[in-house]
Parts: sequence; structure tokens; C-alpha cells
Amino acid sequence: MNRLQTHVRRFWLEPASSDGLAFLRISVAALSLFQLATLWPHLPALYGNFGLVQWVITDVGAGDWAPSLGRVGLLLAPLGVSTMTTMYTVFVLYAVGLVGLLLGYRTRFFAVLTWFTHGLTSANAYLSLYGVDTILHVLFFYLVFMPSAGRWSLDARAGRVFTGPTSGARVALRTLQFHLCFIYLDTGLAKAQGVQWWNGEALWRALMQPQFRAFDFSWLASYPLLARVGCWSTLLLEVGYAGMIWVPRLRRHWLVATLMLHAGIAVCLRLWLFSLTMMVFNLAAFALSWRASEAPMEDGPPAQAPDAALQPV
Amino acid sequence: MRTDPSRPEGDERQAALWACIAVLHLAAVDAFLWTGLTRTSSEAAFDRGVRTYQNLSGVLSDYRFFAPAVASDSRTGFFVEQGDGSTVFEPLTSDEVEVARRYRCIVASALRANRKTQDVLAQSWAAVMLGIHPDASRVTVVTQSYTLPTMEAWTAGQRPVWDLYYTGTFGRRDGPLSKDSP
Repeated sequence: MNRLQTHVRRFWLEPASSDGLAFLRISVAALSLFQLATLWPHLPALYGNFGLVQWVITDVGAGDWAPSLGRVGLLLAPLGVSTMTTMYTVFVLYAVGLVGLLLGYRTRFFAVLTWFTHGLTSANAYLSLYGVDTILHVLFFYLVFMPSAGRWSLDARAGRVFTGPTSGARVALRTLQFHLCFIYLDTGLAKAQGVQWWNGEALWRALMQPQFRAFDFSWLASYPLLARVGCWSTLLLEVGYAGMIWVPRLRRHWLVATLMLHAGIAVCLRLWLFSLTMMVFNLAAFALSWRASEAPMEDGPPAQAPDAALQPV
Repeated sequence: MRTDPSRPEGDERQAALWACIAVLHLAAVDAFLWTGLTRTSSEAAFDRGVRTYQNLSGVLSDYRFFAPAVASDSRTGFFVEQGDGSTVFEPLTSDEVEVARRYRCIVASALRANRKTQDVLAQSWAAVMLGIHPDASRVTVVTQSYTLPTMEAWTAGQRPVWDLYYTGTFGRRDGPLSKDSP
């Protein structure tokens, strides 16, 4: 019992460096700022009350108590604030939050601001959202609670936060790692239920859809076995991720293969932002902590490294 | 001289509490993904509370990207009838990949919806077009679905086609829009 307790304690509470969390904060903020700059000229069409999906449509279908642009707009309307002003104000605040996160200045406050404003805008634009927005919101939520300012931040430079390894950082990393495993398991199992992922048609269809088409892959029709192998590899990688990533000998290979999968999606399907976000998520959760676990420790042999709980005993 | 703060006192105890919260949260994520917990449309306080937590925590939907099947592509365009009787065609697209993808997500959402919701969404899109073209009297929304042949059919010579999926015409209620309209 004591041994189990020791393992659980090590697994969840062994102090860890916040490198991975800081990398996550900076990368996610940079990607989101780039995304916002890209979308900025099109905000009224995508997010505005008189855009492609009027707020009343999304607010009626929401069925929850989460705040939304529409609800904020309704609150401010009696004060003479137009819906357009409300929308731009929220997006400016979102941008300010992202800059704060990027710099690591008053990180917790700006993490809350970013998460809250992203939630407001997402609530009214969920019909236009896709994978990248879903993953970003998950990460913004986590950044509210996670100690991500311990490295490469103005807060660290100003001495406002502790910069060494903490148990809090370990809990944060474990949460990211488990969430990532759930993501791959969910998508992998769902894919495995579809015939297209067994006969190779899924890869063919994805590569040949006009919206994803980066290159002419029509030649693939002459090599269906290649498409089938591509689909099976994806299934193996995604379904196996939740198990294999915890096996020290396989972790590096699985991680590299997963990063290559996302690089392939970025290049071949033009899903750059989504792929980069997933790559950042993977690197933050596993690569940086795994690298730290292999680094020589000052106060003990490698067996006592942060990820020692994962080693076979 | 500035001194770096030392490791917070009680860090491990506080982290243990956070670990318990994290486990509960991850269990909730599991439940969102693999049970029918959030698939109900009930207005009961518990269900609304669950949906609220789901939205706030970012588990807005599942993670079944391209699963269980890769859906057909879709596109939408508008035939805008001008006051002088001429018609112009405006496709709902953008040179910016990120923006075009979002337009397609909206159209795909409409494709998955029932006819009533499709009409509501098409009306919303038509309103945007009428705003862009103040002299226009009517807008016809046309949505097409992309039918891609299988690899076998492709090698046999079959090629993709755009099938008509939805069409609806929407007019102004009170004539051309005034300049003050949003």
C-alpha cells in the first residue's frame, strides 16, 4: 500500500520544471495572435450580430448559462453600446490578454482575460469553429490554473513567481498529458468505427476535398494499398497513443511519429494552425518534461528524475 | 537587491488538492466524451450546469476530427437580384484559407441541420448579402455538396460532381435598405 502511495505521490507531485508550461503559454499566445490577425478583417462576418450567423440564432440554441457575446451585447444595448462596438471591444481585450500571456506579465490575470473573452466569442460563433478553436479553448482554460509564468516571463524576471521546479507544475503537466491521451483515444476509436478508415477511402477523401486540397493526389486512386496503409497507421498511432506514450522506450518514437502526422496534416491538408497547436500541445505535455527527466539531476541519480514513476520497477 | 522567491511553502499540499481537482475534471472530460451526459437537450438545471461547465472548460465538443468518416465538402453562393433586373453571383468564400474554412464550417453545420434550421441560417446569410448590396431586391441561396467517387470508381473514369443540396430565395420586406441600416 505504501509503495502504491509512493508511486502515486511521485507520479502526481514530484516537483517538475515549468519549461513545458511556459513553452505552451508562449506558443499558444503567438499562434492565437496570428490567428486573430488573420481573422480581424472578417470579424463582423464571422462573429458579428449581423454576420453570417446572427447572435439570436446561436443564443437560442445554446441551452447553458455560459456568457456569450450576444448576452453581453444585450446587457450593454440599453447603455447605447452597439453590438459592433461590443464585439470589437471583446476582441481587443482578447488581443490584450494574448499579449499579456505571451510576455508573461501578470500572467494569471491575462490568462483569465484571454480564456474569458475567447469563451465569449466562441459561444456565438460555434458553427464556424473547428478543431483549432476547440483545442485552444481547452488550453486557455488550463493556463488559467497552471503555473506557466515560472520561465521566460516578465513575472519571472521581476521576481513575482517562483522559477524552480514545483509540484504544481507536475500536476499541470499530468493533466495536459491525460487530456492529450483522451483526445487521441477519442478520435482514434471514433475513426476505427468508420469503414473509410479501414478501406483507405478516408485518406483519399480528405486529400481530394477541395477545401483541404494542397496538391493533386488523384494518383493515389491507382495505389489504394498506400491509402489503406496510411489510414491504418493513423489508427494505430491515435488509438495506441494513450498507452504507448507512457512506455519510456516507445515514448520518443510515438511522439516523433505523432508530430510527423501533424506535420503531414499541415502540409497536405493546409490545416496549419490546427496542426501547429497540436504539435505545441504534444511538445509541452511530453517532450519538454521528458527531456527534463533525462537531464542529470543535481540532487540524485537519474532514477529519481521527475518521470521516474513511469520507469519499470 | 532583488531576491527570487523561494519554493512556495506548502506547495506539495496545495498541489495535492489541485491533483484531486484535476482528476475530477479529467473524469468529467471522460464523461463528456464517452457517455451521453451532454447529448441531452434537457433544460433541467443539472444538464444546463453540465453544459455550462463543458463550454467554460473548453470541452465544447468531442475530438472526432475526420471521424468516423470524412464528410463531403460543401459550398454556398448567392444569386443577388439587383434593382435594375440584373443578377450577380457572389460565392461564399475567401482567399484567406482560415476564413474560407470557417465559412465552410458554417455551411457544413447547415447541411447537418433540419430543413427549418437550414432556412433560418440561409435567411441569415441572405441578410448579409442584402446588406452588402443595398439595391438588391432578392437573394437566392444555393448550397452544393461535393460527391467524390471512390478510388475504384475514379480509376474507372468517374469524376467528382457538385450536387445541389439546398436552395432558397429571400426578399426584402420593405424595399431597398436605407443607408442607416446595419
